[in-house]
Amino acid sequence: MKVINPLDTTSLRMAVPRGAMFAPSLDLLEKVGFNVAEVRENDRKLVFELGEGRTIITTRPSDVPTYVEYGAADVGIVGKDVLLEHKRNVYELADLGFGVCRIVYATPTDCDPENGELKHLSIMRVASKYPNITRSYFESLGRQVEVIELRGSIELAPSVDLAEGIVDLVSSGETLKQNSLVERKEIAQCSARLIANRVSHKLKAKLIDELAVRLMEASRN
Amino acid sequence: MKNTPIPSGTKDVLPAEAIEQRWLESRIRGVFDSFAYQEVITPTFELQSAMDVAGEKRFNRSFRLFDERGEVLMMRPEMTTPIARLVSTRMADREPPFRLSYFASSFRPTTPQRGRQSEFHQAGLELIGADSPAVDAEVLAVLCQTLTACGLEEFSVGLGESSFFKALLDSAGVKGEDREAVFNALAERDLVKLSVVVAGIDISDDDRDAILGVTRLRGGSEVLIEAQDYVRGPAMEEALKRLARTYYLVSRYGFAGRILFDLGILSDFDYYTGIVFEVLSGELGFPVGSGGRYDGLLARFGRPEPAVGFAIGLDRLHIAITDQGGVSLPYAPGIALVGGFDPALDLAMQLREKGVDVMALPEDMKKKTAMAAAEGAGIGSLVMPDGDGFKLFDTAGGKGRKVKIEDIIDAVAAG
Repeated sequence: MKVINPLDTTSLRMAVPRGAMFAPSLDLLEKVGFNVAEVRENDRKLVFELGEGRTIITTRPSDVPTYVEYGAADVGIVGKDVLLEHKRNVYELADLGFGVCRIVYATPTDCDPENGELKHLSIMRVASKYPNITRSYFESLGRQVEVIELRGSIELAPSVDLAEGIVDLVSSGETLKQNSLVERKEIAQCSARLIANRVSHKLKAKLIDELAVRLMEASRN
Repeated sequence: MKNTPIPSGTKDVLPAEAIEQRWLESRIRGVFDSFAYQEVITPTFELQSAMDVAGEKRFNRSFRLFDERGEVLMMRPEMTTPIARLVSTRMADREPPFRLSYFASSFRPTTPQRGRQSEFHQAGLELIGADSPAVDAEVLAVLCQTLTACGLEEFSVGLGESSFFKALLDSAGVKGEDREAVFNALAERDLVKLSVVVAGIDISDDDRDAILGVTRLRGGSEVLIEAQDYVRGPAMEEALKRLARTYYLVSRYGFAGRILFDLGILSDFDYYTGIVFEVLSGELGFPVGSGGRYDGLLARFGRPEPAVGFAIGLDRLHIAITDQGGVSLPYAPGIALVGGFDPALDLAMQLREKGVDVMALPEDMKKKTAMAAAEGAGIGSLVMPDGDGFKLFDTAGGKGRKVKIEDIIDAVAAG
């Protein structure tokens, strides 16, 4: 049995997402003095001891808030889209500026969403890999929709008549155009965020505040 | 065997866990009693119309049922509101202050997690009808002493003062929708959103920095000094003075080291009017308990009285203690007695009278089966008839030894 010391304010465990945000996260951490060389090179290892009490664990992006909520990591880097989708009980401390994209509602060019209710017999089908964001967006409009949860290639759904619209992440908008889709509404703007566990945020206040400030400064330069 | 499920978010507690939980409760009760808090028991379900008086949005998600007249009932989602009701009705003719405690389960639909269940057990107390730093300090001291008595070694109590932040918003002139947006961002623990919201409010840069600064103020007693930089006007000064006084009195109880100031404690600003606190323990990602001063609630029930209290999540406390090395149960002498139904019934009765727990086993039971039965029931000793005397075995192993009847108690009591 591991005896833990909650007043141990010197160690810090950070969850970093593998995938698109991996490289920019490591770049930023390097700027504030984390020695991330091994993390960059070794793509099989999941836990890295960096010395000075710092540990990095690498996880799937959507798992980062879970690790942080449960206290398996004190802090983590994660996209705002994941936070909006999963509504984990964590502190959101800083906008790190990279990984900028938007969550939008889009429909085919020839489909006017204003007349959508008649056309779709009042229940519209919307495909997304963000079922919770989609549901709460349409709930806020008072509209009933059927959310069709997909894992990838969301833009395909309208063209094969699986759905009348989609809710998805866009950065340039090029993918939408190629699939004859038009953005109808921006639901949220997203970027990478620094998050912290509720308890760590209190017990390791100095360490975490300092990290947040340094990361924010580094992200502006 | 057929697999018959239980509802999501509930759990069965088996003997090994139940004995620990009840022991923790008895330790808590001991401390509550020593400060003269009296236990009350309220119905498991209340009339929805009674719970609505509290005006709590978070009660919307509750388990509900109908009674035989079609009245909507609500499984109690917490204990503070039922106690406010009780104090305003059944105790209406008594003079405050009231020191009341409870040991009860409450119910809230949730996605179950470790330490988060739809049915959860709490031990808590409310001190109603008194409002001073001395009273706040007593409640904090009872909390710390309770956790210590349960054997929780590593914990801190995050302590904030909600009137300090509210007074800051007042002095900066943040009201209406802006104020709500600030509270919402804080309730979501979204400091990024908070800085965006604050940037959009028409106030001075100095006030903006103060709002963001206060929410980050947390740490040891130095926070009381740092907070002075943000004081604007007598209300904030008063709030800070009061917090300092409370801290001083908590230190007199010997618990200063447990207090971790957190002036940006971000919970439920509508509800809490004064101190607000939560118990933080190690790697358990959420608080073991929480509480604060809520001077507005009783007025809603027609008896305006100040009040302060806390609730400890017994399941969470149990997890936290287990993570820190486990519950250390006191030794309870007990034996399994082969022939304890008959013919050794008299011996069994005598032993029970002397305070030894006796599990009776049939006289023809073989030693191996008897050992397994004793072990399964968590009993450390097995006694078997042996000729005209008895033989005593330790279930942990080793050879048995012959004992006389009159020696059995001594042998077992020694452990």
